Amino acid sequence: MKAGTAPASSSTVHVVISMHLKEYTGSRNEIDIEAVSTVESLAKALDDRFPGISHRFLDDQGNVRRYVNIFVDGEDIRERQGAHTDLSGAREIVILPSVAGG
Amino acid sequence: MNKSSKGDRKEGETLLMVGTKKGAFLFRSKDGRRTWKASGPFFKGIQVFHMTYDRRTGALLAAVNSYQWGPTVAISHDMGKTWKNCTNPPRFPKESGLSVQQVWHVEPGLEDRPDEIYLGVEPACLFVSHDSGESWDVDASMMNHSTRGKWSPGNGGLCLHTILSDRRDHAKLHVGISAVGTLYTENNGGSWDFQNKHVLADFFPEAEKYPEYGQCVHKIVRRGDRPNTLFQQNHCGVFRSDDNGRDWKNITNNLPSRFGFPIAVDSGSSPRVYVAPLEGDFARLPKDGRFSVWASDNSGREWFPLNRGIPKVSYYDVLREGLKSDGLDPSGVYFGTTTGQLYSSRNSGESWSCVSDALPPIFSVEASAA
Repeated sequence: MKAGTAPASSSTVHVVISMHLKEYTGSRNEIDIEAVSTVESLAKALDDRFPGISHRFLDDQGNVRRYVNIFVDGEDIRERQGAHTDLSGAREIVILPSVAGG
Repeated sequence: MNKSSKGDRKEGETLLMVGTKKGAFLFRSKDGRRTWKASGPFFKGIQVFHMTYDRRTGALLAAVNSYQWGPTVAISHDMGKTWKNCTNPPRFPKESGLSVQQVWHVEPGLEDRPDEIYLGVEPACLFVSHDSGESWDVDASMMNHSTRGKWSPGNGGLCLHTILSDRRDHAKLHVGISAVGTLYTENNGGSWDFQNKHVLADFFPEAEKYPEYGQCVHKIVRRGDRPNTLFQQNHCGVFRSDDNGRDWKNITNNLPSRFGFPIAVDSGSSPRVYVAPLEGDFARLPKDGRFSVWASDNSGREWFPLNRGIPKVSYYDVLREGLKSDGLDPSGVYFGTTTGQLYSSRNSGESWSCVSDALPPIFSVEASAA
């Protein structure tokens, strides 16, 4: 968990959202939502709060966009089961764009 | 003093909307297109394939494609000062197995249907909004077209890049898809038929040079005073239809090359047609390194170059959305290059001046005269 962020309770999960999506979040980049078990339910929960936001990190088939990373308790979900990763028990979910340079 | 009108636009003002690889720019002229005031970039650093003005509502509409965050449509009601992404962006249904990769072209509907907007996307399909762009519905008939499995992408992807409404009947619509060709509906997207008769596709074997579909259409425009006349710049030539797309005739004639991307047409009773030929698909540069817009005053029987004011050394390349006419008389004509030059003409291309020499690579130019 990122230093300085309040731990979510077992019934909630702390979500950190890139400031690139501040238009959707009203400039908030950290929120607590009710615990979710799947990426799909995470998307729905965020869409309920911030309509349209899930489309920015998931494509039409529910896959995580190629240049977006979703970390669950510090681990990229691509290292787990991608969009099928079980989020039960997660304390923090971070949604960030990937960066590249040279 | 100018009176304010829709969307903070001033009466008598001409708008130039420029979509680039690194954002969108707006140029406004209040002095008869002599000088331009620029604003932007909007969507800084993000690709904007197309931006247009909806004169029914005064809104700017932008087709925005972020490398990270995917495609969306954004709307501004204050001439770009603020933007809002649509709340229900274009999405294919899950059972289709498709995902919108890019949004290519956004087209306001007819005057009598003020909330209707069309959108062309990649992979090729048409979406329609019935609420001024806030939410988008897929055209199911096109999505499920019986031939879709055989559609092949052009170099820019399998994109629906052209949407032509018909002011005589809102249910009639033409679209252009690379590399599928022209499709036509008479029932508001209930069904789609190909309209590629006599449009060459000689990248196929000899026996299949004129297929039912598979043509690499680059852009199509409609003549305003004779709406049954369409012009298209194709990979394999320039073509004209005088029967609303049922049949096409090759009008490449004396152009220096059959290859190019954009095509534009003036309004009025004897409209000039404009193209921007490149040497060929093997060398996407103007012939001999000098860029010219080529024009025809007789519907493509003869063509002539228009390059006064354009540098003699000008390795310019103009993409399919990069050449437009503003519909005034005399017409304003505008082109934007992949090296970031934006040119304008106030006299139907007889002479050109550079509006900006240092924009990011230009994807699209759209003009709207009050």
